[in-house]
Amino acid sequence: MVNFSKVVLGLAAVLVVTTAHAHDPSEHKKGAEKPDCAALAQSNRSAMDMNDPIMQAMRKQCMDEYQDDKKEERHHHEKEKGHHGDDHHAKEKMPHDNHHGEKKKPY
Amino acid sequence: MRFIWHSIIVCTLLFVATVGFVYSGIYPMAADSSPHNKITFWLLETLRERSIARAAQDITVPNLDDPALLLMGGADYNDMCVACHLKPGKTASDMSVGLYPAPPNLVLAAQASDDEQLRRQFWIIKHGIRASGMPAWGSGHDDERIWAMVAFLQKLPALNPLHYQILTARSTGTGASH
Repeated sequence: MVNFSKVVLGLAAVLVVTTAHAHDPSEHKKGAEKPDCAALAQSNRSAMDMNDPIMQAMRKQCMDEYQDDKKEERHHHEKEKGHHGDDHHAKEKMPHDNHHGEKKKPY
Repeated sequence: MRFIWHSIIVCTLLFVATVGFVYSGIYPMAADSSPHNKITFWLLETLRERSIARAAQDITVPNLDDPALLLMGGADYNDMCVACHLKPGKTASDMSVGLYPAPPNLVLAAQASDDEQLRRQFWIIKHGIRASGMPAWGSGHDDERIWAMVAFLQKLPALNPLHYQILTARSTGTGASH
């Protein structure tokens, strides 16, 4: 019985150590540089081959970023709504209420 | 009989001289001293390349065409490799200048992307190389992530600084599968 407990504890310890040791990509997300999709949108797109894997990967990255920004905007908007309760009049008076315009799609 | 005795004496003298040389401390070990002589360089390089080729020969190369691999591998490259192996628009860093042997500039297209080269790169990233400054990343990274880095390396020479910035930024989607 004691041996079984030791084995379980040992396995748990190994799992914890392995998890802590792995390089978790989320560690790097905070403060990470965002992809400069605006600069890509401004560059000469006629010279780009849309079937090129590099181009496809960049499009995916910028679409993900766009979706992420929209999600953040929605979250921010809902948070603000929550702060002001259901008072629609108060909401209408918000000076920055119209600042949450739709972001332009990168592609 | 005389020949055998002469051989034994020569071998003993060579052994004593070698041990004496090792313990004398006269061989330069500083990374910024003069490079290895041609014989040492050949010996170390051949030893390294033959060892890697033998160890990597049975590795199966997966399909590396998925563009999503470039995002996964690019972000990891930027976190783990760029300090030594550089990026588009950068020709030197403290690490690339200070390490000996000098880490290869992976922005420069040096070798063809055949299966042997892909296996070699995978093996080196996973297991590292002794006494070279190249760490073994396999302890904290699964094979999928290492192959993604290999996929990214094949495209790295074709990237400009803007492409590099976009591919290596860690957005919400990058690495989310881990």
